[in-house]
Amino acid sequence: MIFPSSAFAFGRIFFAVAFFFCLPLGLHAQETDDSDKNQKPKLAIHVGKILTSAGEPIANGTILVSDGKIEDIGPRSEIKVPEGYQEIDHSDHFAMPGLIDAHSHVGGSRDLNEMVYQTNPELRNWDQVIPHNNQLKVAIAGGVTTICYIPGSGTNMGGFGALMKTGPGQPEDVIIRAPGVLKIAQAGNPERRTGETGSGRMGMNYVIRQQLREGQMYVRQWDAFQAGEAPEPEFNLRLEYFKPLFHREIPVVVHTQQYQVIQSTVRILHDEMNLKVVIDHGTFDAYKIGKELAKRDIPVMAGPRGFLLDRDKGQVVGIVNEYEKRGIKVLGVNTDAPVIPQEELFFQASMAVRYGWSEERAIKGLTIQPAKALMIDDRVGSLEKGKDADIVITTGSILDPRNHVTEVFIDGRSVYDTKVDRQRF
Amino acid sequence: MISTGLLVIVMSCVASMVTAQDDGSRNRRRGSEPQREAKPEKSETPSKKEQAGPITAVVGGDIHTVTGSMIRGGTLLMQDGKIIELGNDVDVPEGATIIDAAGKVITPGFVAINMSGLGVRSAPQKQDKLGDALDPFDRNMKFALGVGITSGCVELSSRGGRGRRRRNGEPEERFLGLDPNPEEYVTEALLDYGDEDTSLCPCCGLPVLPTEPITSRPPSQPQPRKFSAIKLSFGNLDSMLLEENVFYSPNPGSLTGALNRHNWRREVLKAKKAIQAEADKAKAANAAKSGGKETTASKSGSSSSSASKSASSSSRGGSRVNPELLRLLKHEIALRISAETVDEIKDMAELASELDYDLIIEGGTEAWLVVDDVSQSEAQIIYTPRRRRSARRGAEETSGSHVGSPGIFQKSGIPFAVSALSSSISLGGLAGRDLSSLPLEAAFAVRGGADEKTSLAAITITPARMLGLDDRIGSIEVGKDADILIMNGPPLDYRTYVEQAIVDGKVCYDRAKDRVYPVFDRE
Repeated sequence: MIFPSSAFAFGRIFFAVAFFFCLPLGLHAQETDDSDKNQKPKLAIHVGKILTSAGEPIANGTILVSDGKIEDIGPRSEIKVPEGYQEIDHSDHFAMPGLIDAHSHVGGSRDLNEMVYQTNPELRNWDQVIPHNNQLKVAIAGGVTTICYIPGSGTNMGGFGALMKTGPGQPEDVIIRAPGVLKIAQAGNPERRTGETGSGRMGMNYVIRQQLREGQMYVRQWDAFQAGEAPEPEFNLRLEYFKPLFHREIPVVVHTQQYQVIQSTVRILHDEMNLKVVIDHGTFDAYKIGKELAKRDIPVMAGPRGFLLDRDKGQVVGIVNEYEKRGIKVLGVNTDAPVIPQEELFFQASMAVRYGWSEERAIKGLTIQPAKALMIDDRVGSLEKGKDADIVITTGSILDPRNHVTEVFIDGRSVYDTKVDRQRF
Repeated sequence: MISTGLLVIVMSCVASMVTAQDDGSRNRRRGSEPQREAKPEKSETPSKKEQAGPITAVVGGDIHTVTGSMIRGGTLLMQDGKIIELGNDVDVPEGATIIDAAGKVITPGFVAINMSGLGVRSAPQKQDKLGDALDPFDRNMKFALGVGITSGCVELSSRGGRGRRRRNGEPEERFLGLDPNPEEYVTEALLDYGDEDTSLCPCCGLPVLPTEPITSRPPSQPQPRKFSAIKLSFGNLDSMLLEENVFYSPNPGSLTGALNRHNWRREVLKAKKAIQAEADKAKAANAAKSGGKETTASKSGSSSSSASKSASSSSRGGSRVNPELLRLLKHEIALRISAETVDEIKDMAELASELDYDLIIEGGTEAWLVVDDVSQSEAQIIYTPRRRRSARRGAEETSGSHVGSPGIFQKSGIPFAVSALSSSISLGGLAGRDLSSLPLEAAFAVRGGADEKTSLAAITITPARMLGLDDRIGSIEVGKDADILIMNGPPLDYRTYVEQAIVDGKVCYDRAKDRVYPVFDRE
């Protein structure tokens, strides 16, 4: 009778050993993935209803795809399918742009917090990208095609993050922009309780301000040099990535929440430093300062928390809808994956709709709004001519959990298809 | 003084419950039980109406009965906490209170098979009776009623939520998903190396092969967990307790391994002997009385206690038979045990068939791979569609969770109840991940291939059957408890809100008045 348990133990060990040997195999598998990288098929996808995130939905539409881009899109009656295009029939399905998560930590390895210094502008995470990893495979089945993969919030300035697609390929194929964003964290997680400056908001605000000022000076010196007004400054790797930031080519995404904290976010990062700021959390009662954000056109990507319990009233209040009421134009949701599993990005919007947001705004809040906030709306976020062919096919509105994703195209290639793959989510 | 008074109320409530349940057989075997006949005879109703309480009529809604077909624009009459009439051509008697439900959807109240921190003053301990810990004014109940949960199953233990100790009995606000190691993200490495019997060689780091026997664990006597069922009748203590000890629930893993299984078989055998002895004794007594009524073998309370008495008197080795074990073997309650992997599930199914008891598998991550074994043992499954466990490397098709499980279960005829990602109400702000997402979790079962009807049943009649309370809750039928939801849309639609929750015929939640969730009209 002891045999079964011993077999069990041996099985465990076998797996343990097998696991070691599997590692190099895994890398090989990654390499074979890109053998069909250069295949950029020409496709004509016929869809029952297209939600474009750029104007009215198109009933019975056709999307022409070539070279990884959307060549044309419109009603099926108006689009002529040229010869040599593979026709794909999704006429009983919906199509929409690929979902974009403005706050994710699952694009690669999870060692995303260097905790020695309080500010780490010298750090970058795009060397750790693992394309099409297990998390991302499921994320694709939830319709997510682009993520903002950023360092953690263990320090006030975690480093620079990358914008990347979730599909297969080599890092250079999937990365959209690197440096993609700067990650700043205020309040909560980065607080230091070990006797340093930065145990509270005063200290943290000082630390952030000081570091940004240093970076701003560095960028100014280089700008002056470029303009021929000053001698060449000394190169400093620590401050190098501040250049695109202060040139307003990339945004800073801020882990910030509660209204006083957001007040300081607005004051320091927007008013003083003149940076492109994205409120990338903005939970608890932060919506109360929504009007100030709206005045400055600051985008809000709310989450992972979706509601606040108003303790005075004993009532649950939907955070996203409260921002909407205060006039935030660029408004979306995030998962902070793995806090919320990456594939449940759509569900964050569903819950916002449940608490009062409109469905139309929710679809945009999953696609074009985060694209605008992250400044990649020239490539992704809507189904328009010339944009990346990142298309999600669903059995109905993605907001309804009863529907599911049946096929996903990234850069014009089908990367997930329930006709071939097992339904992953 | 007050507490004594309360106690008396609770005791009397418990007593009345027990007697109420004693009449009528409580054989809960699947197949033998399905539709219970309508209890009150039609001819009896009018005379009853005269002496009984006021009638409330819910008029004009589309009624999802769950066990029968849907009634569009139907009328439902309630009296004394029960449903007394139902249909399209029901006359509303004069003087009845009318609730207009035109354009609304009506369903039975939802049954949460896993619930904690609701309706109880503090976390009740295993040795308690849940009936002594009830708090009919717990605010959390409103949040649950607001999504349609009218009754549920509470575990009595020292742990609350998903395995955390509460401090000073204070309801703990938990931030699900922000826990350091959410179980969804246990890495493969941890799962594979996590065996405590496997140690690593300090020199080379390779696993050391253990020699037999692996460990000499002391034989663990199965220590059942304790579950009780309550109703969320806000403000009404008398109707809160449904039943104590609704499952026989050994701890996870306590029936695995050769020694544990040996002990379990021996214990079951002993209990079966006790039952046989009791039956023989009753037979003899009957024969002596010569011609009394066929009796008590199937009674729950008294018979099991007397059986256990006889068991203890005639016991070998002096150990007492657990009275709950006797109830299990008489099919009065089911065995509920957590089993996730193929091995665990197969083992549990095999034992259930061999020893003949009803089995409820909790978790059932890999059950989709062994549906034949599960359905052969007539086991039921408590399932959370969104819970994900990755497959073992190289065994993607034969391990791990499968999003299509609900559809697979339905096709194989395996009844499943849907459980939310967490058993408690969390007000920390993470939306759609706590108990209040129960109907949405059922929507995820639809995503996983089950149809709407089965998925609705998975939060109504199926869990009610698991609890052995399907004669009272889980569907809209004449004679059943008047636990009814009036909603502004389809029950599994993520936009739908419960407008009113009626428990035992009383409106216990009103969206517009209680205002615990946002109140607005959707265009």
